[in-house]
Amino acid sequence: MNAAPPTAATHLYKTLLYLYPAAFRQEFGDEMVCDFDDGTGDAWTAGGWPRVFAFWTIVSADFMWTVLIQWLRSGWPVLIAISATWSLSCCVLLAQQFVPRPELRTPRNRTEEEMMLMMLSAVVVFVLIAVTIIVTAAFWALVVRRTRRA
Amino acid sequence: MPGPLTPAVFHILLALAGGRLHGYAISKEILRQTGGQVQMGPGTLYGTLQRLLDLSWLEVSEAPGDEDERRRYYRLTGLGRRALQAEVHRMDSLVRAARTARIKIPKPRAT
Repeated sequence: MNAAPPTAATHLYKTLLYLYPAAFRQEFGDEMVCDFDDGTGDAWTAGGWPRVFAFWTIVSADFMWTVLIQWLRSGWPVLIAISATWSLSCCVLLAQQFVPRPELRTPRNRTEEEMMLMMLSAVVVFVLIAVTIIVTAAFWALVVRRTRRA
Repeated sequence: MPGPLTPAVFHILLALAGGRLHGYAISKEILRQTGGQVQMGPGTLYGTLQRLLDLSWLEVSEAPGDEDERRRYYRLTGLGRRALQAEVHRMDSLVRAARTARIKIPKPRAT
């Protein structure tokens, strides 16, 4: 077991660090890369590839969880973006189930009625989206506040 | 940070009780102190260090001259040391209460 593990893993980890918020990455990124490098080296010395893969598994699980935590701590713009994306997806699915879709047919004398129905459907959908965004953002703000308090 | 400390915070404060350490040395010290039970990933370690720096429980210390420039050393502040002492005192009181209630504390398994 004389050969050192490849440093491609270190390059990959360094790239993955870009998924963290910029402020956190700029403050701790270099140290995290050093730790990953040293940890991989120590795992290799201790037990070869099995220990290295065990170490990488722990780091990967830690990475996925802490990326989410760091973004939640980063502030409102991210919360709004996540909330809006989630809300839009939910509302589109709900609208497809419950809001009546006007039939597309050749225009007749009842065009004004059809136009009003479509506008009413659009208003209902937009109200649903706004309410869901507000509720979801409030929920995530509560989560962040509790995480910070901890 | 009122109330009991989270495990990550407690382990880091305990690891630094012996003197200044850089990040990787902190995680190795935690591994040693817990008998290999707690292995802290870099994300958790530095996320917690960030919070402790914000609370002024830790401060960045000067590194020895020959060390890698990318590494920073951390040490406890007076505030951090008092927080650690308060937590140890709280845990000690709980253990004494458990002993008073005659709850058998199992001996740790030999590793």
